[in-house]
Amino acid sequence: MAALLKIDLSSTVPAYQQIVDALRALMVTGTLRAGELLPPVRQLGLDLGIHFNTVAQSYRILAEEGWLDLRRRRGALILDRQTPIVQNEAKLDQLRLRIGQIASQLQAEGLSAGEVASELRQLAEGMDK
Amino acid sequence: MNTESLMMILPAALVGILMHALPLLSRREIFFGVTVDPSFVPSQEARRILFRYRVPVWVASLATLVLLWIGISRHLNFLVIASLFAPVVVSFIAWARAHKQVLPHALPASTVRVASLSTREEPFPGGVLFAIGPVLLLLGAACILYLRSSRGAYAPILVGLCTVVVILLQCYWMLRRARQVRTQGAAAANERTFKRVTVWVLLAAAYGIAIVNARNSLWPLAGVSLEPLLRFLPIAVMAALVLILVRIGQGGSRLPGGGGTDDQRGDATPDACWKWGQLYYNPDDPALLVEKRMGIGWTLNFAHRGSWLILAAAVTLPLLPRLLR
Repeated sequence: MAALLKIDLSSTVPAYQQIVDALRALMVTGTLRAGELLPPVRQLGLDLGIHFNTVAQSYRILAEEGWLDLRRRRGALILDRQTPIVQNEAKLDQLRLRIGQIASQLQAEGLSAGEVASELRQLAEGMDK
Repeated sequence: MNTESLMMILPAALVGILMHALPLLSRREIFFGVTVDPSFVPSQEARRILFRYRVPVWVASLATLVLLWIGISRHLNFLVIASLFAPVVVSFIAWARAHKQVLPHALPASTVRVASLSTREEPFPGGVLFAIGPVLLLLGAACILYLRSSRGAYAPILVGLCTVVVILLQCYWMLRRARQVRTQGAAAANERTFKRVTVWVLLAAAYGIAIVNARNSLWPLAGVSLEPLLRFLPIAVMAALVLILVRIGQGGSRLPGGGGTDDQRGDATPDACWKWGQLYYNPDDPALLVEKRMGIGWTLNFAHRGSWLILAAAVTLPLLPRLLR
């Protein structure tokens, strides 16, 4: 069965960021594998009912991260990204900060520190599969 | 009743039947152009609205048949033309009224969008060579005309070519550039079947147009009469089309398992962008063609610049023979 991409247009997160996050999650968990083609920008924009440039922006971000090889009119090829690209410490710090913020938010919603840790562990284990 | 009257009355009766069935051909969650809960459609209130839509349609259809009969028997051409338009106009007005009555039952607009991540490479049914058959047929007719006579009329061939090219572009757009509303399961497969069947119907129409126009250009040379075939072919095609569409429903929704299976409700277009449940205007939607809410097939997104070009072409095309004269 083909993987699905879901976005919420009423979310405060911009549509392009939702696409980037969703696709990255699918590639990290192995739902989308190296060598597969993502649909062309026009097809995805049409199906989601959003502007083609929004999808193109998401693809560009993922290409810069090393996930995609953009092919004109044919879609985007998912690359084998076993070896991480050169690590950007500043970006990693930014992401660590985001995880911290999300963890605090989860605690503020009533989860204990242990439960938050368990949630993060589950996510990490999902990525290893 | 002679053949001529029958040829007028049969299509008018078919239009009446189609207008009667129209509200039930939409997707299951769409009723008179409004996204509703599927359980609302069999409710008493919905049936009342449906009945109030159908009464004027029945009256207009019956009046059309009577007026047509009078117009044909007394050779009153204006009456014939006016009576042919009546059921369509009445249906549009009755639909707009029903749309207004259903609006209070509309579901809140969904902001969730789902798309499949598989690439769509729908081939032309029958292959590309079969698809361009009508073009080749007309070009062949033009060659014969050029080789055998200088008195030949090229206008029907040119008009035929333009029409056929427009139809082929439409087929391409439906297969490759139309939105896939349902993303998984039987509903998605039904939607693809619906697209393929529609393309087959359009290709059949393209072949019909090519044959008629080639014949119109060549008949003074060949002296072959296709009259009996050409008289009843359009009616037979129209009747078959009505039957196929009623069986399949919009987006394949009347085929087994044709309901919704994912988070998408209706046809993934907001109700607020549908004027009278008939015309779509949404500047935020990149789609040129969207699924119709009144009837079956696709309609234009009037906020898309391309739609105005298509309308301009549609207006110009019938004038082409006059311009070429």
